[in-house]
Amino acid sequence: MAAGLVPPKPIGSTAIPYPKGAPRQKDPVVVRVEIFVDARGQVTKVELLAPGIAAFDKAVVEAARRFRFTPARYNGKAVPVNLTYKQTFMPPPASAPTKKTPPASQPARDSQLAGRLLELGTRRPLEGATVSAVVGEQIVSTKSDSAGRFLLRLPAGSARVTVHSWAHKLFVQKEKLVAQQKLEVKYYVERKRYSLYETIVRDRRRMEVSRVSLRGREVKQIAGTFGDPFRVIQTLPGTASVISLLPFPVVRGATPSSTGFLLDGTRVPLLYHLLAGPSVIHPEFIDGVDFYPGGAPAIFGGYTGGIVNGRTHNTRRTDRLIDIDVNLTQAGAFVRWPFPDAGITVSAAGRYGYPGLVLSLATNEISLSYWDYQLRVDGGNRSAGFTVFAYGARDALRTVAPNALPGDPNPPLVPALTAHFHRIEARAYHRSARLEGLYRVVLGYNHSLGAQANVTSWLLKPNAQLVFKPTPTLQVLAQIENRIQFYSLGEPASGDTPADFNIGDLIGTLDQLYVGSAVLEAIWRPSPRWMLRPGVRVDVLHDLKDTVVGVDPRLTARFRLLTRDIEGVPRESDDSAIWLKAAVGIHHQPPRFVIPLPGLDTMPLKYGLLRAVQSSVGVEVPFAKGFSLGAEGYFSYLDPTLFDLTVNVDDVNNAANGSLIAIDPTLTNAEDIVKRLTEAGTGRAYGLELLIRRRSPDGVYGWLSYTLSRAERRRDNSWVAYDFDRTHLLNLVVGIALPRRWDLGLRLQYQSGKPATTTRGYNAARRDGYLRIDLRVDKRAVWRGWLLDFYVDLLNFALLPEELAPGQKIRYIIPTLGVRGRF
Amino acid sequence: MPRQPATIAAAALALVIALLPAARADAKEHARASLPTTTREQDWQSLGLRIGLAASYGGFIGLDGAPGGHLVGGNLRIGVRLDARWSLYASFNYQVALSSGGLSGLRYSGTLEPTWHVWRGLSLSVGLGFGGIVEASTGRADATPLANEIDTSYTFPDASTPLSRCSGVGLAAVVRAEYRFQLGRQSSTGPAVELTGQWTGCAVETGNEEPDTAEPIVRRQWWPHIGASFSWIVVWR
Repeated sequence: MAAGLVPPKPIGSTAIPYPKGAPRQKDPVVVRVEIFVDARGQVTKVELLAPGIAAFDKAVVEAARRFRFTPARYNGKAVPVNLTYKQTFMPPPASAPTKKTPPASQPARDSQLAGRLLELGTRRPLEGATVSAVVGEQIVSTKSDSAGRFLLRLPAGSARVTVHSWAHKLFVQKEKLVAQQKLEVKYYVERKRYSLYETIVRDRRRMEVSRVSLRGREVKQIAGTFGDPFRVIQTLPGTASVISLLPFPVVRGATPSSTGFLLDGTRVPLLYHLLAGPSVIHPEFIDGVDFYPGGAPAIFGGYTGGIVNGRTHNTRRTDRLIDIDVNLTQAGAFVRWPFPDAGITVSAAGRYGYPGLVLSLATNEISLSYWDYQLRVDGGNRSAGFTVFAYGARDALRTVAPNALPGDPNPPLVPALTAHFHRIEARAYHRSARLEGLYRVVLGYNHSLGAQANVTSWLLKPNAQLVFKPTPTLQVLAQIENRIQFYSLGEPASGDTPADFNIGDLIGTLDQLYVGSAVLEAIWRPSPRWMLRPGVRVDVLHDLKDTVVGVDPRLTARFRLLTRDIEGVPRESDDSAIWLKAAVGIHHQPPRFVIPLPGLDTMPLKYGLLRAVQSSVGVEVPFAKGFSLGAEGYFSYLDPTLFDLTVNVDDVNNAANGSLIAIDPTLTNAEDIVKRLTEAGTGRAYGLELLIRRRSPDGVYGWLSYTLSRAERRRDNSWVAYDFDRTHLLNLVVGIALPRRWDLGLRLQYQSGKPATTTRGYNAARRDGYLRIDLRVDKRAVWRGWLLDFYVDLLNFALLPEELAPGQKIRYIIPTLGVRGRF
Repeated sequence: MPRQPATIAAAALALVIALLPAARADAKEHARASLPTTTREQDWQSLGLRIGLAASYGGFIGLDGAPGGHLVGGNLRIGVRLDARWSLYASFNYQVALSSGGLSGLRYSGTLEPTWHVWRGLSLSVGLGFGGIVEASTGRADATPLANEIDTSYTFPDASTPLSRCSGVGLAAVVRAEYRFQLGRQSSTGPAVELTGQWTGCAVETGNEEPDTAEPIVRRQWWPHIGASFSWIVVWR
């Protein structure tokens, strides 16, 4: 059985003669139509894609209706498809030559025009383009071969040469041809549209209930994200913000540290530089991002909220790429270079961030800098291969020294927070028709040093995963994972800072942590309509003092309610169906500090495990190719909650203090804060999420997401709103590719207000919500061998106000002006 | 250790330079790009997107006691050329004011501007939209009542004693004359002179909230301004 889509093949000739009576043309005429072919190979409809000269359009449409094809096949089955057909009519000669004896007046073709057609900017050869030359009354044309080469035999004289290719702009050039000589040329033909982020569209089968997958421009050119794939998650349903600038989402009512940020399934200890900056992985490594607001499969463990999984390019790529990006806050480079003889591809990237330069315009009391690196080697092929991936990052924050003189215009700065980590991950895989294996070892180092923490940890994490496919409808996954982590605590950095609270007090005597996990999961399609995904994971955690066990059974079900006829989408594809879907499962999580810092990924197990029971039901409806609606209702029960991020005061008599951790005035020492953070609570969240999405590789793309939600915590035997509960979450994301290599992007985000404590009680009122509008403009310049992308990204360009702390709203704008070169 | 990032950056740059595709000119092949298929004037007058970036310098005069100052900043203009005579632009101005005791902070505006192309590169624009001011610390004395003296929001009748700092938005209007020289088919540049009027609803938060409603307690003033600025713009099509 052939895998994937086998396109239809024409039966008989598809030649279309020059229409009789059509107006005489100087240049070739190109007509493009879309032909709809049914499962029997019959043409059911022909649509003109771009109207031109009526006589030529009519000739092509009528001729195409008479075409016949062998049926297209998808996984061996005949399916209806639509295809684009292009007809080029060459201008007829001035007078019809007789076949046997050309007129004596016609000059001999004793000159040659030979050359290559290359695409401007990429130097890719242009195959199948029509090259025409007009010399006097003679018109000669040919097609370029796979290397873009062509050869025209012409009479000597002045020639007007044109190149036609539907994806490219008309190319026109004049050449002087000399008798008995060969002129060799190299033509650079400009494409109509260039995209920095071309993606291969894959037909990913639906296997989860709540996953939203984003790729290409959807993750790298969204306004307000600075091109960072992971920041796009904040625009998706179910995601509320603590503060819109902080990329720590409150997903379906769970505290930010309950949402995991992973890279190919491995936790990244510090995803965002300086907590709010760009992510620590160069965007070129990221192929796409999967977001699970709930109902994540059993292979994802350790989080009671959502899962954000960045997928790196998973195969060895053979094209070279050099990407250099410089903007107001950072400079970076990415190089991908294949070594065919060694059978490997090496990718390397590094960035250095200098946000302090821009910040210094506003204040000299803070200094920020960061760097990161990635080095990756991929080898092998689809059947077997390996990857070695090393990456790391370092952030440094410097603030005014405690001994600085008051009013000093240039106060001395001292290190306030330094966080860095390194990871080396080695992966090997093998794939066959029935069995796939993936084996990984991760070695890591984490360190955070600040006024309230000095933590170092070492990590070793071996993992083995086998996927067995006994039948085409059943797939069984088994995974074993271990984690061994060693911790050491030191003295915090600044002895002069009041040590009201030291994270070391939370960590206590945590010295070693051992985690053993086992996952067993099946993906079963008992009929073409049903997909069932039962799974269970068991996590055993031990820290030399306590042992805790989490057992997470999970079940996902999908039902193909209807199959719709959608132009351009095979009926058998998951993208053509209306799906009903449901998921339920238990999710455990080790106790984790409220802010993600390297080394603070797990707190002592004496606090216990967090647990959530997640459930959801939903529907997916496709409207057209790449255009769909998703609706999902969810309910999550969180019991217990630990290290829950809270900000609101218990009583209105306690003045708002603006701290991220609500401190009761009666709590003045570290034990009190520890008690508040480690107190077990109960929570629940429920709501409805809507996502209308349009995907397009080169047109208008984007999505509209809306969430109606309620997140609550149990307090004094009644349910009250959680401090970060926002009833309405609305996001509009639009990207438009315009002619002449412009791209415009707009993001609008509205989140209704958070609860506030008033005289009527705890969280009895609501503060104002916020509206933020971001704008991004990209302009691409094309040279012969490279592309240069200029971009302006204005985050909150209208300086709309947002509450930073109780009683304090700020107006801000974050502009980014940058240039990116790709060679 | 401090040198490490610089070393990494230098090594990366050296690697990049080393790997750059060599511009090998094939002596036998004549490299050609396409000849233009339209005239330059046709290109600039045809329907399509235009983006402009400008640097500007000017002044803002406060009326009714509102503080004024010099403005330095930039302008982003996004628009559509509709035909030979008309364009429609959205213009975003961001200007820094650094006048001790006067206006000190960010002045911004966003206006929608129908633009008439009068003759050659000369154009006239009239725009209306929003305009705002964000000040941090200004050195101005605080207005009475002081922040710690009020327990409810308060709006001053005028700006005769301006707030110690302003954060707010209001209405803005602009009139602009511009002359651009074509640098080629893709870009043009030239000077512009503009007159501005702005009416800003300023607010200073006291850091406290109404205990019954959790509404921030603020003091408000309305600041009227007029101004003029000179800018130099580069526009791409």
